[in-house]
Amino acid sequence: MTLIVEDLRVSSASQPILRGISFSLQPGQVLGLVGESGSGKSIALAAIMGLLPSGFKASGRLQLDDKQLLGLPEAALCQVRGKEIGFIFQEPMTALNPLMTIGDQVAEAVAIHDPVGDANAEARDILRQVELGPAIISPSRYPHQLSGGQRQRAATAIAIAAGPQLLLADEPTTALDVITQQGILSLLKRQFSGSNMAMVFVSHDLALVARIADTIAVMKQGEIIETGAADQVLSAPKHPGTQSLLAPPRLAKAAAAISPEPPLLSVKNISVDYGAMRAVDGVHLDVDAGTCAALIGPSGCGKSSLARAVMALHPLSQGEVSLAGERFSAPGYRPKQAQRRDIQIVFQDPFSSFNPRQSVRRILSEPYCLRSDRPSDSALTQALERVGLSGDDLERYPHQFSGGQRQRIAIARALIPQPKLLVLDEAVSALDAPVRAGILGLLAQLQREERLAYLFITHDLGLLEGFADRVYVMDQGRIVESGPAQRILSQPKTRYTKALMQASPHWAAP
Amino acid sequence: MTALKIGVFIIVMLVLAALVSTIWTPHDITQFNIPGRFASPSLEHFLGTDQYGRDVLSMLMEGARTALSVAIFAVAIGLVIGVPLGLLAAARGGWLDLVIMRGNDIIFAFPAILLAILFTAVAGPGTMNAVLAVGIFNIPVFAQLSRGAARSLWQRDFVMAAKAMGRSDFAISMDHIVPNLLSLLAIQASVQTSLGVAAEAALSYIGLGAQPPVASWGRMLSEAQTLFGYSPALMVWPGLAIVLAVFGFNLLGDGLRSVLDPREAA
Repeated sequence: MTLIVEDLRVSSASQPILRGISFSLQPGQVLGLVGESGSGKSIALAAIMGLLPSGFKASGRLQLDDKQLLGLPEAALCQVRGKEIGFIFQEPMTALNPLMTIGDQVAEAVAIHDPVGDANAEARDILRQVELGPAIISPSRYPHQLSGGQRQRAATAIAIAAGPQLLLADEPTTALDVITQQGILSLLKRQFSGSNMAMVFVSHDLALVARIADTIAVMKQGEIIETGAADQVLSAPKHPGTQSLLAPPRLAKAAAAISPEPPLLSVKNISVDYGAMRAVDGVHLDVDAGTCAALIGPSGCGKSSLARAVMALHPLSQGEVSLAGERFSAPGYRPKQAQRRDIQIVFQDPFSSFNPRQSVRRILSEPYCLRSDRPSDSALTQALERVGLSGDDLERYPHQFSGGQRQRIAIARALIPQPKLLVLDEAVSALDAPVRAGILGLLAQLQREERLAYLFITHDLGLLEGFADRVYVMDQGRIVESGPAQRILSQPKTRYTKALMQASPHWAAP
Repeated sequence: MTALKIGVFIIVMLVLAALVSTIWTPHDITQFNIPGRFASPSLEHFLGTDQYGRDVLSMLMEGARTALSVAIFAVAIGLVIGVPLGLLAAARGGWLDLVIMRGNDIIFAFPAILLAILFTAVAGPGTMNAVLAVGIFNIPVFAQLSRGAARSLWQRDFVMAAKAMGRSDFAISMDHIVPNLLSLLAIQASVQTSLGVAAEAALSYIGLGAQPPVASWGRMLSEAQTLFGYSPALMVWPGLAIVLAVFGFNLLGDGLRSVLDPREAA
C-alpha cells in the first residue's frame, strides 16, 4: 500500500484551509502529522477519508496504490473506507456503539468486508491482538463497562478488523492518561512490526508522536512547515514553529517562601462516596497561601472527585475541609456564601465550562453574586484584559473562541470573586503546547501579582517541574506519596510514581 | 425543513380559522334551517349543511377554536405545573425527587383517555373540564422531560462553576437550566398539542367535551355517524379536520426537532 498526497488543497467558502500539502507513505511506515490546533491536521485526514464537511472543496492528488481518491463517487469510497483505510478517533466512547457488545462490534466490522467465514471467531482473534482477549475481558461487555484505555483498544480492534492497509489515527491518545497512552502506543507499534500496514498519526504533541512515527510532518496554518525523520525533527528542529511545539510546557515560578502561617487549605482525612463506590479514601492534603500544590494521578483515580469535595460541590462521607482556618465543608455542613469567595475552580473541558446561551458579559457578571459591587463595563473589560483578551470580546459567545481563549475566560471568571485559592482541574490538559505554555505563564504571573495559591490537578507529571511546590500522588482514591516537589521529582519513592514519570512524554529522565 | 413548512402552514390556517370564527362565520350556527338541511356544497354553503340545516364550514371553524383552545390550554397547564416540578426534582434530588417522580408514575399508570373520561364524568361535561382532564396528563410528561434533561445539565461544568460561586438552586435553574431546555420543551409542546386535539375530539365524541351550542369536531363526528348511510359527507369533513390538525402539529414537532436538535437531524 502506498499513499501519495500531492498538493492537497482544501478551501471553505473560498477561505483556504489547506494550502497545498504533499507527502507520501510507504508500506510499514508511520507518518506523524503534528501541529497546534487549527493547523489543518484533522481536515487533512478528513480529506483522505473523503469525509470533508459539506461546503469544503478539495483539489490536488490523493492516490492510494492505483486509485485516485479525490472525486471518487460515495459508493466507491465506502468500499475503500474500512476495508483499505481504517480510522481511530480521539474519543473512543463516541466512536463505539453503546448498545452493542465489543465482540459484536468487531464481528460486524469483520462481516461487512468478509461476509463468508466465522466473524465471531475472527473477532476474538482480533480482540486478542489488541490485548482484549477473552482471558482479559469478555467480548460480551459493553463499551461503558470498559476503561478509557480498553475502549480505545476496542476501537482499534474495529479499525483493523477488515485488515486495512492504511490506518488513520486522529489524536487517539489525547483523551487518555499518560500510562494508558503508553499502552496504546506500544500496542499500535506492535501492529506494525512485520505488517505492511502504514499509518498517519495525528497529534498536537510532538514528543508523543516522536515515540511512534518514522517520519514527522509539522503543520502550521494549512501548510507543512517541516518534514524529516522523527528523531531529527525532535532533536534538531529547524523551523521556529516546530521549536514552539517542542518548548517545554513548564515555567520558572516565583520563589514562594514557605510561610510559618497555618495552611490556607487544609484537608483532613476526607472520604467521598458515589453510591457504594468510594472514590476518595481518607485523604490528607494542605495548600499554603501563595503556593502551588500539585495532585497527580491517572484518570479515574479520584482526582476530580477530590476537587469537587474540596469545593464543597459534593458531600463528604467523613473528614473535614477547612479554608483560611475556618470550617468549609464537613459531613452535614455546607459552606456559607461568603466563604465561597476564597476558593474558585477552573475545569478541564473549555467547551462545557460555559452555558452556550450566555455571552461573555453574562458569564463574567455571574460571579458578582459573591461581591458587593455591580459589574461595570470597565471592570469586566479589565477582567478580560488581565487574562490577555480584550473588552471587545464581551458581547461574543463561547463558541466563537478557541479552546485556549475559553480557558482564559474561565480563569477570568474564577478570578472575579478575588479568591485566595484556585483549583485547576486538568485545566491545561486539553490544550496544545504553545497555548498551554501561554496559560501556564498567565498562572505564574497571577501567582506573583496576587499571591494566589493553586491546587493543580493533572495526570501529566511533565507539567509540574518548576511550577509546583508540593506534590501529592494519588492512586485509587488514596494519596500514595507526598512531599516537596523537588524531592518527589528527583527521588520518587513508590514504584507507582516512577511509572508515572517514565510514561510522561514531557519528562526528561533525570 | 419541508415538514416544518407544511406543519406551519396547516397550523397557521387552523389558527386563522379559529380566530376568524370568534368574530365572523359564514352563517350563524345556532340557527336551525330545517327546510335547507342536508344541502350539497354550493356557493351559499361551501361544504353543505347538516341534519338541522346548519352550515358545515361555519361549524368546522368554530370546532377549530374549541379543539385548539382545549389543546393549547392543556399544554399550558402541563408546562406551568410540570416544568417547575421537573426542575425541582432535578435540583434537589433525594426524597423530593422520589415523591415527584413516583407521583408522575401514578398518573402515567392509568390510560390517559380513560381517566379523562372518568374526570369529566365526575366533574361534569364541558369545555373547561375537558381542558383540565387533558391538562392533567400533560403535567407528568413535561415533568419527566424537564427532570431528565435538567439532571444531565446539572452535571455540566458550567453549573458546577455556578455552584462554586454559591448561587442558589433557583438562580441556577433560571439562568442555566431553563434556557437550555427551551428547544426541547417547544418540540414536546407541539407533540402534546396534537395529542390534545385528538383527546378533545374523543371526549366530545362521547358527549363529555364541549356542550351544544358550542361546536366541536368530535361531536360533529358522533352526530354524523347515525346518518352515515344517508349523508356520508357530514362525517368526512370533521374527520378530515381532526386528521389535518393532528398531522400538522406532529409535522411541526418533527420539523422543530430537526432544526433545534441537531443530533436527531442526522
